Amino acid sequence: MPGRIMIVDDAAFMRMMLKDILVKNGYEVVAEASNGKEAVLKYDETKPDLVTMDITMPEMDGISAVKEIRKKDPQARIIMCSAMGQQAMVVDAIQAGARDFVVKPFKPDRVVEAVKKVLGN
Amino acid sequence: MVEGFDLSRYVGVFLEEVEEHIENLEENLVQLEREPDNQDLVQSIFRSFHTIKGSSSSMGFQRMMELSHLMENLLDGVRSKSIAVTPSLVDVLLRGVDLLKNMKDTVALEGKEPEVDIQHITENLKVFLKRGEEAKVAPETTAPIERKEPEEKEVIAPASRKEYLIRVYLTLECSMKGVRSYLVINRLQENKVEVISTNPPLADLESERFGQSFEIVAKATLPEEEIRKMVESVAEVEKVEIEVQEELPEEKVEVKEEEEKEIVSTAGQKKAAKSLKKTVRVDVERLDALLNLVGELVIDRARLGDTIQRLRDFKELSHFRDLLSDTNTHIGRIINELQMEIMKARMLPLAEVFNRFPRMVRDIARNSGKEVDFVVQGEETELDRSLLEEITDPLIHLLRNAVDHGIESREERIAQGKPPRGRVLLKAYQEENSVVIMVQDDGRGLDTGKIRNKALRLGLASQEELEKMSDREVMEFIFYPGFSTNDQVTDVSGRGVGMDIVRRNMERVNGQVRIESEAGKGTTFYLRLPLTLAIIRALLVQVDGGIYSIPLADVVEIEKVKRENTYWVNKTLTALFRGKVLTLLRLKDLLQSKKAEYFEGEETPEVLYTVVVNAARAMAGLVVDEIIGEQEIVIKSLGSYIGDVRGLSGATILGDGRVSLIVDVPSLLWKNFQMGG
Repeated sequence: MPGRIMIVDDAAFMRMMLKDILVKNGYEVVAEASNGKEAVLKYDETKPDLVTMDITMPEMDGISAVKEIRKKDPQARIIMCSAMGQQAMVVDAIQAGARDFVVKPFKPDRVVEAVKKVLGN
Repeated sequence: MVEGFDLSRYVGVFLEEVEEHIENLEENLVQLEREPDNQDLVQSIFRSFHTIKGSSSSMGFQRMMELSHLMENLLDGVRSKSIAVTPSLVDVLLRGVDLLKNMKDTVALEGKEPEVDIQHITENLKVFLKRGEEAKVAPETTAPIERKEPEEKEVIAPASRKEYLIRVYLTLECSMKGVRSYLVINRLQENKVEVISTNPPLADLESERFGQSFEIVAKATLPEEEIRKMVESVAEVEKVEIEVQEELPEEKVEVKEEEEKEIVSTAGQKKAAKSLKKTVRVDVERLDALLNLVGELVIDRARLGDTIQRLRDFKELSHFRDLLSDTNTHIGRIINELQMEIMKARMLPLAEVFNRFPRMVRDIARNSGKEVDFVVQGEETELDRSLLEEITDPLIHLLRNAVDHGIESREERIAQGKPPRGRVLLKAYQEENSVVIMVQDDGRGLDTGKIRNKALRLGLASQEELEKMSDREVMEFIFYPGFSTNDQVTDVSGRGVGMDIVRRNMERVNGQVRIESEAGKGTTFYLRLPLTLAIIRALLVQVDGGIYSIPLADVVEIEKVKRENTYWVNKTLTALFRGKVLTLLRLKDLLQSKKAEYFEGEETPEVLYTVVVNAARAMAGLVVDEIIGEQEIVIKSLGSYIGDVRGLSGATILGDGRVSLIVDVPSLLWKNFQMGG
C-alpha cells in the first residue's frame, strides 16, 4: 500500500535521505517540516497517513509534537527517528502515542520495514 | 582447639566468612554513628562479632576470639542502652575491626594467628565496658531477631482467559533492544493483554541485558493469532513463538539455604555444610578465555557473512546461499546469547567496591575535622569485574578530594549560609550500554581562577589562549600530570597525581571522565564506563585507504555536509549542526597528530562526509573519505610491543580478514584541544 508521508527533521540532510529512501520504495512524501510546530501545522493541512518524527528539534521537540498531533488526531501514525542514546525519550514518545521508532544512522530497509508495519502491510 | 578435626580444611570457609562480617561491620559501624538508635543495626553488629568470636574460638585463634568477645560485650551494652554510641566508641570499635582484619590476613597468608599485641586495644575496650557496667541499672531482655517472611502474592485468573508464553526474537542488527522490548510489551497492553511476567525480568530488558530473544508470560481472552499479529506489527521483530499454557505452571519457590547459624564450638561441621552452596567458583582467567573465544566466534561469523555476500554473484548457488545465510543468522543469535551469559557471569555489584568507602570517608572527614554526610546510591549496579578493579583507585582519589578540598569547614559553611554538614554523594546507575558513577560534593567548587594561574605558571597555555577558554575547558587542566590546585600537601591528597591517574585509568578501559563544577555550590565528577570490555558496536569509515572503527558510543550522527553549507569561523571550517557551530576536523590528520582543522584559503571538497562525535564533553565533526557502515567489532589490544598509542584504543579484524584500527575519540579530541585547537 503506498502511503502519504510527512517527514519531520531539523536537518535538511536527514530529510533528504529519508525522502530518497521512501520515494524509492513507492511512498509519496506530501510534506516536510523542520520543527515540531511546523509539523503540527502541516499535519492539519495535509493529513498524511504517516509521520516520521525526529526527537531533538528547535521550537518544539518531537515528543511534544507527537502529543499535539495525537490530541487532534488520535489515529495519527507516527514513527520516531532517534539517535543513539535517546532511549528514555523514545519511551516517552511511545507513551505519547508514537507507533514505532528507527535508530540513526538509518538503514534503508529498517526504515521501510517500520513504515510498512505501521501502515499495516 | 578442637581435637580430632582437620581444621585446615575449614580455613577457607572461615576466612571467607570473617571477611564478609568485617565488611559488614565497617559499613554498619559507620552507619551506627549516624543512627545510634537503630536497633536493627545494633543487632546486626552484635551478631557479626558473635559469629567471629565463635568461629575463631573453634579454629583456636585465641586473640581474635578475645578481641571479638570484648567487642560483642560492648555491643551488648549498647543494646541494653547502658553504653552510649559516641564517635569515640565507634573509633575504638573500628580500630578493633582493623586489628581483626590484620589478623585474618595473616591467617590467610601463614595459616596461623599472628602474635600481635592486642593489649592496648583490649584495655581501651575495657574502659568503655567499665563505664557501661557502672551505668547499668538492670539487665534488659534482648530484643528477638525479627525475620520477615516474604509476602506471597496470589494470582487469580478468570477461567475464560488463557495464559500464553510469547517468545520474541529480535533481528540481529536491532539497536535499542530495551526500547524495542518495551514497545512490544506496550503494544500488548494497549490491546488488553495482561502481561504477567517477562524473562529476563523487566529491569534486565530495560537495561538491554539480554540476547536476541525474550519471553513474555501474558493472559488474554484473545486468540493466539491476534497476539502474534500484535507482536509482529512492531519493527525489528524477526520471529514470534507462542505457546498456549492451559494450566498454570506451579510456582517455584526458591529455598534459601543460608540460614542464620549460631556457630558454637563444633562449628566445623556446620561450616562444611554451609559451603555446599549451589555455586561453582571459577577462575576469572577461565571466564576471560571464554570471552576471548566468543570474540573469535564473532570475527568468524563476520567472515562467514562476508563470504555469503560474495556468493551473490553466483545465481545457480542461490539456494545454498539462503541456507547458509539462515544458519549464519542462527549462529549469530547463539553467539549473542553466549556472549551475554558470559558477560553476566563476569558481573559483580559495585557494592564490592563501594562498601569500603563509608569507612574511608568517615576517617578522612574526622582527620580533617570536617562534618560530612556520605550517601551511597545504586551500589547494586553491576559491572564487569575487571572494570571494578580499574575504578577503585580513581574513586578513592575522587572521594578524598571531595572531602579534603571540596567540603569546607563547618565555620566556613555556616558563614556562607550552607548547611553545617557537608554532603558527598557516590551514585552509580546504568545508562544504555554504560555505567555512570557520580561523585558529588556540595563544597566550594573548583576555583577556575587558580587553575588558570597555575596553567599559566606551568606553561600549559599562554595568557591569550587562557582568555579564550571557557571555565569548562580550563577545568580540564586538572587532569594534567602533576597539576594540583592545592597549595598545601596533606597526607591524603594534594600530591598532584590523583586526577592524572583518574583519567588514565578511565581511558584504559574506554571510559570517560567529566567534571561539572560551580563556585560555592560544589563539584561533580562523572565516570562513564562501558558495560562490556571486549565487544562493541562501531562505525567503520575509510580514511586514506585504511578502514578505521569509531565506537558508536561516541557517534552522534553522520552528516553529508555540502561545501555551500560550511562557514569560516575564526579562520577554521565549521558547519551548523542542530543550531550549534561544529568544527570540522580531518580524521586523517588527527590520527597523525597534525593540525586537523581546515584553514581559510584551503581547498575544501565538494562534499564532506562527516561523523559527528561527542566525547570528553566536546563535539566535533570528523571528516572521512567514506562511510562504510555499522558493525559489531571485537577489540584486540595493540600489543605491548606497540605500547600505548594515543588516539587508538586497539584493533579489530574485519570480516574480510583486514585489520581495522579503533579510534579513541576522547583522546584524539583532547589531544587536538591541547595543541591549542
